This record gives sequence, C-alpha cells and structure tokens, in this order.
Amino acid sequence: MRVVIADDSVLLREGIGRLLAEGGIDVAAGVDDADALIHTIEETQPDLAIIDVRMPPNHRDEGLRAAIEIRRRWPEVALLVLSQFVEERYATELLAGDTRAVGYLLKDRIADVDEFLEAVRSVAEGGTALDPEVVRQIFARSRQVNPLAELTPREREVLSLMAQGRSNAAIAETLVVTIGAVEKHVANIFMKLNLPPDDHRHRRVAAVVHYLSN
Amino acid sequence: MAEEGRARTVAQVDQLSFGKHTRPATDRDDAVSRLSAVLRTVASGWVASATWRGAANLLLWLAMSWGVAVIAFVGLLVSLATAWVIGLGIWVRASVLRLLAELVGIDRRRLHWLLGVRTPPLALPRSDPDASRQTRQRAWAQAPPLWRLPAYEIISVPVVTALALGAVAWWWATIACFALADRHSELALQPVHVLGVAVGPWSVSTIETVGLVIAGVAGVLLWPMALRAISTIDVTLARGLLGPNSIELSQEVVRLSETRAQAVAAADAERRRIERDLHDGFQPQLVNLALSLGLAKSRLANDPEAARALLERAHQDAKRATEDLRNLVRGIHPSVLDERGLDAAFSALAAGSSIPLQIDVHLEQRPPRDAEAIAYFVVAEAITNINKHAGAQTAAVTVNNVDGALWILVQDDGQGGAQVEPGGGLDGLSARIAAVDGTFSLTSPAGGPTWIEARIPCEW
Repeated sequence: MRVVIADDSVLLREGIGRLLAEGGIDVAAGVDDADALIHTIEETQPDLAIIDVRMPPNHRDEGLRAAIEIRRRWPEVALLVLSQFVEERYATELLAGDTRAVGYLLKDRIADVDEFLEAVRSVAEGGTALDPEVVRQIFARSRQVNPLAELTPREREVLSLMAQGRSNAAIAETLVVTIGAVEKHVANIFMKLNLPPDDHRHRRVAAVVHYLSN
Repeated sequence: MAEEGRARTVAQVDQLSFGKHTRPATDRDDAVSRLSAVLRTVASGWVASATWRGAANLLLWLAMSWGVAVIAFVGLLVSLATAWVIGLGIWVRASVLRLLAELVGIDRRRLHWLLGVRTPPLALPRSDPDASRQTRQRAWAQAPPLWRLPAYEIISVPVVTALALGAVAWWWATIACFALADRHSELALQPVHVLGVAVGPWSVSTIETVGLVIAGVAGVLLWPMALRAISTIDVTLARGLLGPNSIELSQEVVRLSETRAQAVAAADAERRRIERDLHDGFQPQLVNLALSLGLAKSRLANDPEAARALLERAHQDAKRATEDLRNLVRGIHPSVLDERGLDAAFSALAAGSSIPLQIDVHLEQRPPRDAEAIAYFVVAEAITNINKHAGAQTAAVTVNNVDGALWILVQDDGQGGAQVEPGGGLDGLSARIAAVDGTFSLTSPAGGPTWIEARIPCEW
C-alpha cells in the first residue's frame, strides 16, 4: 500500500510516517499544503491520502477542500481526513459524494496506534471510518434514539447498500427491482429515521451514519 | 443649492435698480439687451427648482405640522387616560410612539426631498414580535417622552401658520397693487373690491399709481426670495428639533463610553479565564505525564511490570490532556464558525450537551463575523449553564433575523431561578452585546422556564 501524508506539521508527518512504517505501510510522500497534495496525488497515484483539514496558506479548511477535489478527480484514491476538531458539517461535505473508502478522525486517535492502523487499512480497503465524536454530533443533530429497529428487512438491505456508497440505480440493479421501488424504500428510510427533507445529501449521509454506528 | 439661489436673487435686484435709476440708455440696442437680461433673470428666479420646492414645502409643512400635532395631542390624551390600566397603558404608549415615529419619518423625508436637509432619527425601542413581554416593557419604559418625538411639528404649528397667513397677505397685497393701479380713477369715488375685500375710497395721484405698479412688480419678483426665507426658517427649526439635541447626544456619549469600558473589562476577564484554564487545568496534566514517564524510565530495568503500568497511565493521561486542550481551544473560538457559520458550529455544542437540544437557525445569509461570534458564545454559555444548573429535560436554540438584527433565543424547561452573576460568562457576554448596541435579557422565574434572549444589530 502506498500512502501520501499531507500535514503542515513536520512533527506529525514524521510521527504518522513512523507509525505506518511500523505497520508495514509504505509512505510514498509527505507534503505540507493542499496544492502540493493535489500535485503529488496526480504524479504518484497512491492508494491512500492522509490529509489534515487545516493547512497553509490560510489554515482554514484547505485540506477538506483538497480531499473533495481528489475524490472528484481520482475516485480510486482512498481518503483519511484527520483534524484537531471533527465537525458534523465537514463530515457531511466529505461523505456527500461517496461514502466508500473515506475516513474522518480526530488527530487524537493516532495515539491509539493499533486502532489507528486498523482504521487506515479499513479505509484503504474501501471501508468507512468515522470518529465517534462526529457520529455523536450527527446524532445530536438528528435527535434519534434507535429508529433502525423500525426498518423492514428490505429497507435495511437498501440502507446497507447505501452505506457501501451505491447510487439508487446501482441498488436497484443489485436487488433486481426498479429504481422507483428503491426510491420508495429510501423515502421510507428517511421518514423512519426522522430525517428532515431540507437537504437531500445530508439525509443520505445521516442515514448511512445511523447504519454505521449500529 | 439654496446659496446659489440666493445669489441669483441678489443679482436680479441689482439689475432692477440699475435699470430704474439711470438715465435712458443712449444706445437703444444696449437698453433692449439689458431689459432682456433682466427679464431672463426674473424668469429664471421663478422657474428655479428652489422656488417651487419652497412653495410645495410651505404647503406640506403646514399640513404635516397640524396633522402630527393634532394626532400627538389625541395620542397624549388616550395615553394618559389608559396609563393606569396595566398592560394596556404601555401598549397604547408604544402604539402612539410608533405611529408618531412613522409620521415624523414622513416629515423627515419631506425635508430631505424638498429642502435637501437630512436629520438623524431619534432612537426608539425596536419592534420585536418574538421578544418576551418583560423585555418589550423594559424597552418601552426607556423610550423618550411622548412630546419629544413630534416636538418639531408642534413648535412649527404657530410658526408655519403665521408664515402661511403672511404669504396669503403678500399675494393679496401684490394683486391689490395692480388692481388699484388699474382702477385708480374709480377709487376716488367708491371702494374697489380686491378678492372680496373692499379698499377705499381713496384719491390716488399719478405718482402713487406708478408706485403701486412698482410695488406690485416687486411683490411678484421678490416672491422667490420670500419663499427661500420661509424655507430657511423651516430648516433652522428642523435642525434644532427633529434630530437628537445636545443633551441627548451627550447622554449617548456617556452610554457609549460605559459600554465600551464594560466590553474592554469583559475581554480582560476572558483573557484571565483562558490563562487560568491553561495554568490550572492543562499544565498539571503535562507535569503529571512527565512524572509518570520519569518513574517508568527509572523502573524499566528492575520492575518492568510496574513500568508497563506507569506507561499505560501516561498514555491515558496524554490522551486526556490532548482532549482537554482541544476543548479549551475550541472554547476560545471554533474555526468551523468562521468557515461554515452558526448552524454548523452548534453541532458540537449539541453533541456535548447531555440534555437534548433542538437547534433552529433560520438565516438566509451569514451575519458579520463579530455578530456571529457573539451569538455563538451566548448559546455556548447558555447551554453550559443549562447542563450545570437548570435540571431541564429539553432545551431549544432559535436564531433568526428580526428587523435586520441577529436575534437569539435559548429556552429550557428547567427549574428557573437563573441569574446573571457579576463577572460570570453571561455578564461578560451581555457587556459585549451592549458594546454593539444590542440587548440581552435573562428571564428565569422560580419554577421555570428560563429564557435567554439576545439581539445583536448588524449590517448584513
């Protein structure tokens, strides 16, 4: 596995590199800003990019925006976004296109070496790794207890396929049903999970997060 | 524009006197050209926009002054009559003040459009349909006295009435001059009726007839000047009475200095709190961590098992210190607030609250950064307090744009009895809100519920 690390702190870049080397993972390159990251991804085509949200020049959300751009241009590159703070809104934006091979974790999680390496491997293999803190935030915003129990077996099936990042059309193909039927299931899932109809992307992500956290 | 108009009128008068008192020009062409120049100047005085604006202003000034004064008088009577009825009295007073503010606003526009004079409005309590009753009553109790708002119109009534009568007299006299000059031969025998008023009988000599014609012409020609004089009187009155006067301005200066001093003190207190948090919370954790590591190092050779346990503890301590530092930094200023706004920043507050929070942010566009930060910290502080003291089952945060101000309401269904503690978080925040001319109120009767309400005026 080849990994690119983007973080403006040399200390953290080297730390993560050492940790990955310990786990037998090869670090292809380390960069310290978003432009260099995009450039390096284009050149090296790694399997995974580990990206800090806050990077030069403005120290705002450059890393997040770079991650979204990478997902758009090179969807095969797995993304693990690290941050000093995790935010429900950033998670929503990051997962909006595709929930496959995406991770969003607090930087603190690096301290639990084995769990962190596990998350790195899982994301590189196409899984999703969300920080418990961001899951808590998403729950707090949708104010749910355990609505998954109310789903029918077919709706659960649809939801699990959504969690694998499939579109409605792909889900219909897998289950050998019409797209209309899938759309009906999805609408039922949103209703049962009590997800408000204000933002379609946010609803889809929230539904997936419900599924993942159970 | 008024200056220019006046200069033109003076020039016109000079030319007239020149024409009257010099000997007839020997050069006919010269006399004709001089006469046409005089006529042009007279005509331009009459068609100058200041003239018709002045005339329109005189009529509207008369109408507005009487109208507003009568409404203010009736409003004052109704307000006095209902003052003793609790609730109704303050409502009537507020309604009368609001109506007068509207009318005075129209009058202010008249002065701006017709005379080009801008006057600053007097501050009134802002209307806020969602505010609690107590907040509204407190605001209206601090409103200016009823007579202050329409003071300009009330004082204008005798002035503008006298000026309007004067204008009528002016035109009557002007018309009378021409009428009497025209019929001076009849005037010696019987009275002449000018616009329904009988004049005479007088005997009028030829010289006097010429004088009457000259007076009539002067009446017509000097009318624009008279109108401008009337406009000047109006502008003087409006400047003195429509906007805030010097006492009100100096009260405002005192208020501004106080709120500024409070805001500076609040910022100081905040800095001390951060220093305390770092010193009392974070530093001991790091010391403890270094201690555990030091002990582990010294025991590594002799007692590897104990060293292992110490390392485990150091690992836990380090993680907790990271978490505490993260919370401390986020408490100073959450970066997501700048990047994505209030709604996004509230997510972490909701996750950190053990009481379920309902959050509704209804904002179509982002408020300015400063207003947003104050709003965020009001909500953060309120939620901290609710979790610590309120004994609530649920809490709700609502953020809205009400009349161009950022309006925040935090409610809980707890036991009430909350207070703003001097030097506490809410105290500092209310000082920050006062510094931007906002309002802050805490309503928390014993037994609950508790309402925290803040309004932050801002330019969107």
